[in-house]
Amino acid sequence: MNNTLIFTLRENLDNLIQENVLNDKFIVLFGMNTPGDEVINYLARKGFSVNAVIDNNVLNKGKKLAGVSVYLPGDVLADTRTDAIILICSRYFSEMKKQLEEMGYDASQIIKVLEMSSGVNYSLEKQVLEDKVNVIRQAYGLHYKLKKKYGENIKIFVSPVKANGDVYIIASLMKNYIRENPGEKIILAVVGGVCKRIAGMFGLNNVITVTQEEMELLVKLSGFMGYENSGIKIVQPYYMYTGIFRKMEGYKGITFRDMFAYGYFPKLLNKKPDIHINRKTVSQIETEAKVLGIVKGKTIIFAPYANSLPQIEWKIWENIAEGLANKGYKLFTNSASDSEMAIPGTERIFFTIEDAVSILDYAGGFVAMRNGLCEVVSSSKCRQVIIYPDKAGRFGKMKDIYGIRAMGLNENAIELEDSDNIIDEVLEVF
Amino acid sequence: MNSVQMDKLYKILDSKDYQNRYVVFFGANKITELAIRHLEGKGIKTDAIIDNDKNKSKTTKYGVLIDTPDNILGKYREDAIIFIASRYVKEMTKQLEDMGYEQGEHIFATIYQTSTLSLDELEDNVSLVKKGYKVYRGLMKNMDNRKLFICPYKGIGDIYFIGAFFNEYCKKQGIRDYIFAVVGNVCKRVADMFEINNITVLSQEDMDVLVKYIGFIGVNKTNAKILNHNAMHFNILSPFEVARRIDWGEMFINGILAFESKVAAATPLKKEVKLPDIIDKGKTAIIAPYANTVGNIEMFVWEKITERLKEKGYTVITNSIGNSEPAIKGSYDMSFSLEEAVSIVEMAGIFIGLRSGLCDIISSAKADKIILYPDKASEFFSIKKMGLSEDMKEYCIQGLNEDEIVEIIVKDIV
Repeated sequence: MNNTLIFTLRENLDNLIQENVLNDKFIVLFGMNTPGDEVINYLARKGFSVNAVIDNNVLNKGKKLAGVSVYLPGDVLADTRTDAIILICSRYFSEMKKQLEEMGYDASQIIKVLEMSSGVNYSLEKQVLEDKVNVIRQAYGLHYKLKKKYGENIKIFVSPVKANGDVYIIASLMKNYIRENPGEKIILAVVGGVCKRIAGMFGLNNVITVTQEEMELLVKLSGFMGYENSGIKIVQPYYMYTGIFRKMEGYKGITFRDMFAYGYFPKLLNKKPDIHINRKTVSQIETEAKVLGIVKGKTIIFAPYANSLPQIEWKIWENIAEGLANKGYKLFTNSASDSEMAIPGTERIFFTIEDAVSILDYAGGFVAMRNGLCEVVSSSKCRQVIIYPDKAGRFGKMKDIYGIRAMGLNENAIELEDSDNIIDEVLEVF
Repeated sequence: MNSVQMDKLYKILDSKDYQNRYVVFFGANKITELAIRHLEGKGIKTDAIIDNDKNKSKTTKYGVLIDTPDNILGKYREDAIIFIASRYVKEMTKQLEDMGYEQGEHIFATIYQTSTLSLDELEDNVSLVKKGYKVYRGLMKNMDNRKLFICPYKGIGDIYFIGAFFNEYCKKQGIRDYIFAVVGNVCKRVADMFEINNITVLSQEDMDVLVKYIGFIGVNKTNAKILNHNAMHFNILSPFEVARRIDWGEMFINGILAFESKVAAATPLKKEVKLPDIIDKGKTAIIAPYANTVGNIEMFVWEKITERLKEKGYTVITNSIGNSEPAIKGSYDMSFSLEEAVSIVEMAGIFIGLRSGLCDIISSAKADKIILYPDKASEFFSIKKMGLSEDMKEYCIQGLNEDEIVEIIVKDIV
């Protein structure tokens, strides 16, 4: 979820508050997903409680999203409640709306708080097609330039999503792939410097960065001409496809990493992930760690923010921090920008992605919401606690699909699911 | 291999002159097998198969000798016509050129072509997309809210499987108004067996450009759904086939149709037919030894099976459709329509088939049904796992000799 969307969402919620739409209402959120967690947490900060979350997936019934219980729609809305306001931020808005209307709810009670389906217009005009054709020609031009620069037979692997965890997995697989296919000339194209640096941690020196626009062009060209013709391989299973991978999430125990490995590096599927990355020793990191105020072995760094999976109730973080402070730990919140505020009782900290593993080795403890940083620091020897939302994918729980342990990245990680006991469970670890 | 690739292969084969040529295929695989069978049907004999894998040397496949390129073509033969049946076209072409053979004269690619992305190629593809746009507009007319379902391949098994779950899918999604696009009349007939409405028959060419267009413009930007998991997924799903973590049926039911719980396959309409003279009711085995996707079993194995069944008092009939798929020695040949297949098998009492589209078609028949899978990989297409039949007996015969295969079959029948 990018910042623009979050700001739009907050703005839309502010409007609802200003127009008194939510006053004295039974507020229901439809869909146990991100950014539903943001809706709950943001409204809570503004003094409104979401009364219930509804979700059509029976596996999610009884779970909680950011502290609010999840029900099947019929459980809370069967008797048409005139005081209900149902908030939706899902790409399936129209289906959900139809479902609610069939249950007797009025269109005015159903509110889209965020536009998730970006401009689907089935009646395509010729101009749209022409525009797309021009894009493909541009893509050809970019590809031509890259071949001029890197050689006619170059293969371009593209990692189109600007996500740290994804790039970490791709880079670890590519490192092996290159080792096993020494004759192939390959470059890995990523978006943004951080992604390049993550790939660099694996010693990959054939990584180039392109802009998001250029990335879109390469992806389009690959889809259009095929890998065999274009030499461009999209190494991201969730991108550009018709949702088939998402629908298979967790099926027969297939993890997130498996999806990458199956799709692109099938020979590496059953091999243990190679997570041997460049890192500093404790003595090399000592000066920097001290400047940051880290107390060796007695510091815990929090990473409470996540972009892809739903977050937990903010209050839980505050309570965990309080408990750990009482145990004498020095506490930090890893914060990359002003929008990521520190958990009360902790200080903001920022370090480079390359130093993350060594910093954690030095600090001793890491408590995180499952996010992309969890992959990046998975090889750290510190005590790691990773919290997962108690949410089911189509065929498994988040912990089984995206689990750092399940993916073979860190068998010592302590992985917990959001529950009523989560605070105690975290405190017990330290 | 899908129907698009097969059409392409046959078209290339048919465009060549074989008079006084020494016919060779490079690569002992499914493409070569289909090509050999296709040529055989036209009275053209294949002389040799070459393969760089020395383990395959001096063996035969489909009755043709396999050996290394050096042993077969080391001594230069001007009359050689060599078809490359592999995706390593570039490498293999170079290997043959180093031996003195020339492209266009001796060396021909089959379904895989060498390609570097040229501007001309790009523009060719752009015109295909534009053609696809016309096909799309022609189908949708001005009713863009109608859902367009697309079956990109003309394999009858593919359509049967889609048909078995299609109406349930529409019910789940609340879809009433749709167009169901298939390739060729045979597919329409299979779809008719499931009482699917508004079926439009397209040529393969129109279907290909339509799929190309949808992929180009983006599935989410059209009101179309492609009822196949690998038509436009850039082959990234094929490793799943190899690794056998997800089977074909699971990929379709869960990945494409997104059913969350088990769903029952619909039973197709059955056309009743009069008992043909050739069938001894309940004491006849229909054998179906040919397949387009999985590898074939050597003919002498089928001959043994036939022999043994006859010893046991059964009449044996090969489901045969002409020269390229002749009857097994010792059996009668018979062809029947798809609509009649279930009734025929029920009257016969026994069906023994190599995994092919016909196995899907007869899956609902009340008879002893035995399906053979030539290797582990082919079990990806398990009929049972597709949910099409509970009582089918499925066997993987990889590593078994002919006697063991015969035993497996006979034990189930006698």
